[in-house]
Amino acid sequence: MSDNSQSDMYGRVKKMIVKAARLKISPESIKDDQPLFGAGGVGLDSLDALEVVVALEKEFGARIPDADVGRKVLVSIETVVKFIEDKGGKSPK
Amino acid sequence: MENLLSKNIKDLIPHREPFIFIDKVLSAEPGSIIASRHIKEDAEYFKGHFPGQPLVPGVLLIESMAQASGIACASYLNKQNGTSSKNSELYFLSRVSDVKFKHAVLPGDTLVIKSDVVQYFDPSFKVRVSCEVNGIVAAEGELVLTKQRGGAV
Repeated sequence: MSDNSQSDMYGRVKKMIVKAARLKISPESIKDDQPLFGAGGVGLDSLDALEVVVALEKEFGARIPDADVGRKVLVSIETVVKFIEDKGGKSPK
Repeated sequence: MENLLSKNIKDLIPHREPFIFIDKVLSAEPGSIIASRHIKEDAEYFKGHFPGQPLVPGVLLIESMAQASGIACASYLNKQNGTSSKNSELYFLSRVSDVKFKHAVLPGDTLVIKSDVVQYFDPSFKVRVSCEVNGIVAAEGELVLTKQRGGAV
């Protein structure tokens, strides 16, 4: 994957998370390694996680099979992008 | 799958009068339920909602859909875990999304309530819900229910 397409993937994942969780922040303000949950994080809660899981499968074809996997994937933008790439998820539109 | 159709509704949900808003299960698949609710003409709330023009409050339609969804969520987990339904399990309504009220529900109507699990991410379920009267959609939308964990809300 080229640097450009990977950068685009990070941007698309940020947009997907902001949209799915209806966050009142700009996607660009999220750092790649910023925690998605907890103090200093993006501000997701457990209900947002459910929406992100739905959006991940719908937009990237990357299915999180259970909550244990989810806890490892929904850590930061970096971990989400890596999961999509490992799953061979479809390129963002 | 166990036969939910033959069960008393009190064996399927933890709710008790005066807060039971479904009567029986009409059909059931794991994660998918169709239930019914007859709207009694002498329901107490019609005295105030509204005087001279009785109308089932939208929040009670949401409650009917949430109670049916509790059964759908339990059946989803039962299929996954190979267990059977217990009416002691609590599923709390956690989110109401994009619910539209499209048609009035009146005294004497019979609601047909549908709930389908769209996504499960422990401990929460996203469900697609609707209720109809005589084939006309009265309300539809999405809910999130969250399963109670070991005594904590």
